Amino acid sequence: MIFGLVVTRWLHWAVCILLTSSQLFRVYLVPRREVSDGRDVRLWRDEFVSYLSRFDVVALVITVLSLFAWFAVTALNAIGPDHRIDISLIALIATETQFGRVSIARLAILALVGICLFASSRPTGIDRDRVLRFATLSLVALNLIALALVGHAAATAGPTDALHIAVDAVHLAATSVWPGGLVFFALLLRSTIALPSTNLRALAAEATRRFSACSLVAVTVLGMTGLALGFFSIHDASDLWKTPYGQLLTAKVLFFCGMLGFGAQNLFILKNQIRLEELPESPGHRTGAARALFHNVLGEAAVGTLIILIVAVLGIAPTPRH
Amino acid sequence: MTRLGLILLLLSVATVTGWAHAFLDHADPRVGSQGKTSPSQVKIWFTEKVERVLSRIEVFDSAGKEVDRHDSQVNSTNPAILEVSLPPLKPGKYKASWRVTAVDTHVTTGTFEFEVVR
Repeated sequence: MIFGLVVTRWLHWAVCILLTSSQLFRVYLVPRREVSDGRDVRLWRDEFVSYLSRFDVVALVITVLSLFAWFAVTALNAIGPDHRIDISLIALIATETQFGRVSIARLAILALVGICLFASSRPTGIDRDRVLRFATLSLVALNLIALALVGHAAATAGPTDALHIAVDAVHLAATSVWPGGLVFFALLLRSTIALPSTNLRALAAEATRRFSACSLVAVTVLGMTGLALGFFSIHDASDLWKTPYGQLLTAKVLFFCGMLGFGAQNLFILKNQIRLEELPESPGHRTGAARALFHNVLGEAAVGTLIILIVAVLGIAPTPRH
Repeated sequence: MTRLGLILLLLSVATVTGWAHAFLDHADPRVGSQGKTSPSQVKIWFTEKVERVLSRIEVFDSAGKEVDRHDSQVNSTNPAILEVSLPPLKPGKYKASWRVTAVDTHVTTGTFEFEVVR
């Protein structure tokens, strides 16, 4: 049962973040269509946006299915082995518990997301398309931060419960920028660095500049909110090395710092190299920095997979504060 | 699909919040206590808010017979308190058993004993 809880929860949270990241990336990081765009840029943009659209549909379906799966496993676990499972009991959990009510509300939000995605797939004017994009982004962001209402923060008893939920919500929102956006940034780099187009390299350089700025803000917010969440879960600093939960948390922070190392190299070295390579007088091979950046992003992904091992164990461990 | 799997694996880094568990903070009557009067209810303070429909306390006598009034409920002013009322108890040892689901859906169970003495 614990395995099922971990897997469904992990899958659902991850895909919720990705769904939000995809919308954010499209709204803020894919350069807008310009009249002066060359044919190569138009073709690339259409293909990339088409890929994001297909991804959105798949991610939405997985989000809904994993929500049902998460609800089912959670309900079975809550009912326990001593009680017979019947539809009235399931209905009771859906309507009379916070987890059930939030799940129903989120299902309604996801239905609206589906409507927006469908409407976006029809031919529309630029203004209507923009409204639909922002509406979709708002809805998926709401769906994501609503997870704070069914997590650790929601169960906090005492005067800080609202603050705990707010911090958790901000933390969740920030993850959709970084590392969530990292995935789509890597895809953008991979789709542009191999093409022999100066325009596309300039476009990738612009996306890199924007992503760096957004990531910097997101990492700062993640660090601050992560610290605050640590105060909510750790009773004493010595818990960080004396308790299993604290030791895992410490290891996770160290890996997070490793990801920051990759990010710092991207920001302070590779981003500047990419900018220099785009100067007209810059001679020679122009894809070196972009390729190095792409590999760094993959490196961040590798560290991320190590962090997930820690998070999976943290997920079933009681916090030292309890 | 492999790519999607890798993406999901990477993104799971974001699920950083550890699961909480509602543990017994303190109880009335106190854990392991001896009292000269029969308590009118068993009241447990948990470390987290618990769900009304998925949380219960049962009280058993030394013969294993349930003696509470089957009316477990979450306190109306503090959702971290669960209580069940009792009829007048005869002197003897009693075991309170609880199973609660916290608002974050995590389930915990436990027992403690108390005694009514003459």
